[in-house]
Amino acid sequence: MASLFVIKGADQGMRFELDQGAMTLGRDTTATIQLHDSEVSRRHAEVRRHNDRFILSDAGSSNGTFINSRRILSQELATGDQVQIGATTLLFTAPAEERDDLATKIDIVGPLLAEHESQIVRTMSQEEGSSILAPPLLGTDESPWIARARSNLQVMYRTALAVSHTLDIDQLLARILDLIFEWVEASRGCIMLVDPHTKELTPRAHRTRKGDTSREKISISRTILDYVRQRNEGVLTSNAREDERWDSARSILHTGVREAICVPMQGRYDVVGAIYIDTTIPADRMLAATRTKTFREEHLKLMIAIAHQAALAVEDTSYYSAMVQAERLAAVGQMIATLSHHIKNILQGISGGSYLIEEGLKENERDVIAKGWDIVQKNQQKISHLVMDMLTFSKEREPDLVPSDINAIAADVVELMQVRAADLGVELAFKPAEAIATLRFDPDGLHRAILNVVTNAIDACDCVENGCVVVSTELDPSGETVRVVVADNGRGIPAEDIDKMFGLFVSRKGGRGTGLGLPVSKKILREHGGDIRVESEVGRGSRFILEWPALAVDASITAPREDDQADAPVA
Amino acid sequence: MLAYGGAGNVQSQQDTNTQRVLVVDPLDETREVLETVLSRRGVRIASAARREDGIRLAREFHPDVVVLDSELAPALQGQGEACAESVAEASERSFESTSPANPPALILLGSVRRGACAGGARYVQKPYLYGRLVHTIEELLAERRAA
Repeated sequence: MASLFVIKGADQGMRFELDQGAMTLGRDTTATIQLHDSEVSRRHAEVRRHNDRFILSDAGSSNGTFINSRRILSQELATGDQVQIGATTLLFTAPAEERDDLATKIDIVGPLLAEHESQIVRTMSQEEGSSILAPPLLGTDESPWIARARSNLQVMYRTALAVSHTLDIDQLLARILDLIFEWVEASRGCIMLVDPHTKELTPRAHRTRKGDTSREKISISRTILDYVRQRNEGVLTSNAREDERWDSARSILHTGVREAICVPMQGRYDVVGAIYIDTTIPADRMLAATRTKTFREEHLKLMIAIAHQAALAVEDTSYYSAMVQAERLAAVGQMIATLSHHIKNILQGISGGSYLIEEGLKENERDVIAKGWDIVQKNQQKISHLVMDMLTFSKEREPDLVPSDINAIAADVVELMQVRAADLGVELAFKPAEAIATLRFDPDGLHRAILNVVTNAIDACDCVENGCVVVSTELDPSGETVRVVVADNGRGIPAEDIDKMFGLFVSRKGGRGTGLGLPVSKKILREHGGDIRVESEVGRGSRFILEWPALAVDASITAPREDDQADAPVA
Repeated sequence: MLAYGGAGNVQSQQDTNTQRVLVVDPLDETREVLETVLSRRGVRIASAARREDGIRLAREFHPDVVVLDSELAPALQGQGEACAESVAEASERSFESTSPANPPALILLGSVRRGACAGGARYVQKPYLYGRLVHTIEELLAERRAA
C-alpha cells in the first residue's frame, strides 16, 4: 500500500495509507489526511490515484505545495519524494514493483546442468579489482592529464566508500575532512551544516594539519558563505588578489597569503551545508618560492564533487535518524494506546462494581453488594497484574535466584486460576513430577511466567467443549533441565502466528489480552537462561513448554547463571 | 450461577409481555452489572460476549433493546478508527435483520470520537457511568412501551 509518512512536523510519526481514489490533505477535520499544522491551509492539497500512480496537486493553498523543495501545481509522486506543505514534511513510499515473476526469469541450476555449459576462464580477487584505481607503475608513460584524472577518480572512489557506511553525522564529517587533508595541502578545514531549526550554517567538524602551529581561529567571511549557499557555487579565494567582492586584504607581506576554498554541500533536495578549507603561505616562504598558489581550479572541482557526495550521505543520515525517531514515536504511541485501552476497561469494570455496590446499599440487598464487591476485587487484581507485567518488562532485572520448589509454585498458580477456569467451564488439572529437589530460581518471576501461560491456555479453551488445561512439571532425566508444560485442548495457534505472538502488544485475545503476558514470560525464562517453546495444532490444542537449566542449591553462587553444566541435584 | 462468555445466556423466564434487553459486550463486568440490575427491575435479559452469538441470540430472543460494544461492530474490524455513523448503520442493519417486523432499538458503547449517530441508534461514549447507561436503556424501553 502506498503511504505518506510524516517525518517532520506536529504529526511526526503518523503514517497515512493512500487507499482511496482521491484524498485531501489539510488542516480541516474533514480532510482525509488531517495535519495539525497551523501553516497548512484548511484544504491544502490532494492526492489522486490512477491505478498505481499517485498525482499530488495543490488545492489553492496559501503557501504552496512542494515536492523535494520545488513548488508544484500538480506532479506525479515517486517513491522517496518528500512532500512539504506548511511546516510538515511527508515522505511518499509506494510498494516495490511486483517481483514474483523473477523466479520465472532466473533459475539457479544444480551442478549437473551447469557443469557443461560454462567454465571459469579467469578469476579475480576483490583487492585486484579495486586496483583499477591504483596509481600507475613507476616508469609507465602517462600523460599528466590521465594521471590527474586517475587520482581524482581515486579520491571520489574513496569518498564514496567512506560515506557509504556511516550513520553518525559527526563521524561522517570527520572522515570527509580526513580524506580532504590526505589529498590537498590544506592547513585548516571545517564543515558547517545548516541547522534544522535556525536554518543558519553552524560549524560541525574541524581539523588542522599536524604541525600547523597557528592557533588562530578560523574566521570565515559571511559574505563568502552566503555567496556559496545562495548561488550554490564553490569559490576559491585568495587575499593575494584584491577582489572587491570579498573582504579587502590586509597587508599580505605581513600575514602571508591565505588561500581558501569554500564549496556548498548540495544534496538531493537542498544545500545542507558547506565545506571550507584554507592554507597560509608564510610571507618569508612566499618571497622565496616560485609557486605561490596552493589551490587551483582542479581542487575546487574535486571539492565540489566531494561535498556533493558528503551532502548525500548527510541527507541519508538525517533521514535515517528522523525515521528512527518517528518509528520510536509510533511505538510509544501504540504502547500508550494499548495501555489506555486496558486501563479504560479495568476502570469500566471498577465503575460497574461500584455501581452495583451503590444500588445494593440503596436497596439494602446483600447479594448485589457482594456481586459488586467481587467485580471490584477482580479488577484490582487485573490492574495489579498489568502493573507487574509492565514493571517486569520495562527494567533490566537480575532474577532473584533463591532455593525454591517448582511444584509448589506451579500448584499455587493452578489453585489461583481455578475460579477463572470454572467461570469459563474449563477443567484445570495439575500433574506434578514426583520429588523434584529444591532448585535455585526466581520464584516470583516463574510464578508470573507460568500464570501468564496458564491464563492464555484457559482463554484458548473458552467455547471449546470439554475444555481442559493440564499443567505438569518435570526434571529432564539428565537432571539438567527443568520443565513446566502447560497443555490445552483449545483452539490452537496457526504456525505463522507462533513467532508473532511473542511480540510486545500482540494479542490474539481481542480486548481481553494486554499483549504483555507472553513477552514478559519469555523475558523471565530468558533471564534464567531458558526459553518458552510452543507446539500447536489448530483445532487440537497447544503445548507451551517453559524450560530452563536446573541450578542446584549447593552450586556456587558465583557460577554463571546461564551455565547449562551446573551440577544437577540427584532426584 | 450464570455461564458467562459462552454461546450466550438467557435469564428470567417470565411471561412473554416482559420487555427484553440483549447485551453484547466482551467485558464480563458490563454483562454482569446489566444482568443484575435490569433483571431486578423486571426486564428479561440475555447476553453474549461475541457479536455472532449476539446476532444469533437476537433471532430467538427478539429483544426490545440491544446494547452493543462498538468494538464488536463489523465496520471497526481491521480499522483503527471509523466514523460512528458507519458503525451504527452496520450494526443496526445486522440487528434489524434479526427481526424485520419489529427491529430492536440499538445502544452503541464506544470510544469513536467523531460523528453523531445516524438512524435511531443511541451512542454512549466510553468510559460511561452505569447509572446513565441503565437510564438510557429504561428510556428506550419506555418509548417502545408507548409505541
